[in-house]
Amino acid sequence: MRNKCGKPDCPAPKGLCLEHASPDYQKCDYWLGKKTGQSVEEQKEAKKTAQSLPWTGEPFQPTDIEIVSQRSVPLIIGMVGGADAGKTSYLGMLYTLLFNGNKFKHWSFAGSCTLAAWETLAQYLRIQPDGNVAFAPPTPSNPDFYSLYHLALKREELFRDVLFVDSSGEVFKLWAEDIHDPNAENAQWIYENSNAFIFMVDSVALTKRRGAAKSEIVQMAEQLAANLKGRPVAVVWSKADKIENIRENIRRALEEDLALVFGNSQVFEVSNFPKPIPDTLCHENNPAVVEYLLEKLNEPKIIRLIPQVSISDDLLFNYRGSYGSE
Amino acid sequence: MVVNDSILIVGQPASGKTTFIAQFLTRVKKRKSSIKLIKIPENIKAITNAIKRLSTGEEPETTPAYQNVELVIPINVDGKNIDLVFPDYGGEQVNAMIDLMEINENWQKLVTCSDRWIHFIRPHEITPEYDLSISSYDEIKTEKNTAFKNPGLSNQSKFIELLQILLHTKNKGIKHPISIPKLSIVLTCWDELNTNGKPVQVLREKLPMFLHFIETVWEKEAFEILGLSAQEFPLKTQEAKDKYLDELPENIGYMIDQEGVKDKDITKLVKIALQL
Repeated sequence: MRNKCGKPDCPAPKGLCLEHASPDYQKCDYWLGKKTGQSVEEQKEAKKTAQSLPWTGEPFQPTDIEIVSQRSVPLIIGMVGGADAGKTSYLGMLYTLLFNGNKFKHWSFAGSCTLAAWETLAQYLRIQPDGNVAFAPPTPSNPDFYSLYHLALKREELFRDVLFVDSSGEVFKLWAEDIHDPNAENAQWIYENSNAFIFMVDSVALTKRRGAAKSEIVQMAEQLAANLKGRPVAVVWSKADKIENIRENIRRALEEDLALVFGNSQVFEVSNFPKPIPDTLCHENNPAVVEYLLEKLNEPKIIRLIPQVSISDDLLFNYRGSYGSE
Repeated sequence: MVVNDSILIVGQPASGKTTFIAQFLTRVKKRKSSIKLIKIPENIKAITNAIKRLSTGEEPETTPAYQNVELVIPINVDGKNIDLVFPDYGGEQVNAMIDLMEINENWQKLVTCSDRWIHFIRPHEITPEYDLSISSYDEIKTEKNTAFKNPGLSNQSKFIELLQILLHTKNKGIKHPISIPKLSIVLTCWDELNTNGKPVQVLREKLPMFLHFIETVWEKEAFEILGLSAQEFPLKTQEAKDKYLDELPENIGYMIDQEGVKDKDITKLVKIALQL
């Protein structure tokens, strides 16, 4: 269970101790309750009757999915792409846009069980007092790292819990070469459990590392397409404000390869650096990616029923009910 | 479904809950209201201090964090006798709920027993965040952060989280539009905003995602957005304090209805909440 410092607005233990501006919050008098005026007995009394809520606001782990799966079948959207392709920043921008009043065209926002997690992502797109923007650090690449971000969305009577699964690009690189790599277990989990995918293509990597970047992207795309079983994929060119810098032949070759691998998946271009504002690359295309996948997932599926024809000689097994004789 | 008339006022510290309750009681006592007081509340400890301070032209103090006093005001609204239950509590408790993600027994009782919630928000205290989606950029350092920061929740997320916690505690799902509890969002200290807009416009400008959340989750007829200035002006200067001493607190303060119309009768806020 989480605990909290008694000093108003002190972020410990999540952040630095406000009183001493250090991580040693446990030595602080406020933390120890000496200065809050509330005795230990009172604190205990308050604790005893408190009921913890099922969600914490932090990213979901796979075991947390049951928090929302009781009310609907959650849709899991896997973020796939190499290191620094912009998976985490894409999610940060999605939340930032909602935060500032942008909406999906057909879906409306009905809350989230991972608000604190979204806020952390969005924090990296905020302009700091010094005028800089410091992007999110690389997502941890250990194979047991899972980070699921939740949105509850509604479209008229339709209700959906959507979970975006983020993971490190390093892990996906390993997975693209060997899906059974023990160091890429989480990538394989994402692959097996997602209902849809956002496949990120890094425009800047293609400019800098040209053919080498392209071959990595194609390898990952092929691995993703290998066992899709009809699950929709949105191909998203990130950092698209710099897409013109990619060599024309590389860009065209990759477009052809991806079209070959994913068939008629829709292709989007997104950027986190809108100019002017609003900018199609950011304000329209970012939410459009999610909306496209949701539409795909809500399309009625063709189910091919195979009628069972009885081949038994036994009258009992051949009995089809009274209507059979009518 | 029958709606009970118990009103729960929720709000963070310094959102103006106590000032409103003190002003409400002073007004119904003086019959300066469309709502009539049936009998003097048995226990007004929760707001004695606030009433005393206002009558001397001082701003009421923030309620201590761990104070819990229930103020029951028996009133008559349009011929109907209603017991208004104002739980007065330190607004810190609301923050603690969001920070610790747990809800204590007292709050569980308050939330389950009330079918009308009034959520006090002081919009002037909300500072905008500047991010890449609203500010154009020419030159930017795109270096990666080295440490994973934890910024703490923004006001907007806190308000959403609070309503999610209250709904969960009341066992209300969000799959179908909510008709009970009725929700009134009251934007307090309206005077600080210097605006002629409607309350809903102010909320859309200040907390668009929060409004989006409410519009999605609640039935259209089950929520409303209002404005309130229980104190009318800050009591910082001697001049302002003198005005309170001269004109008496019960003549000061106003509310803004959904259409943006000003009304000196702040007790109407309760009346409107009861009509939802």
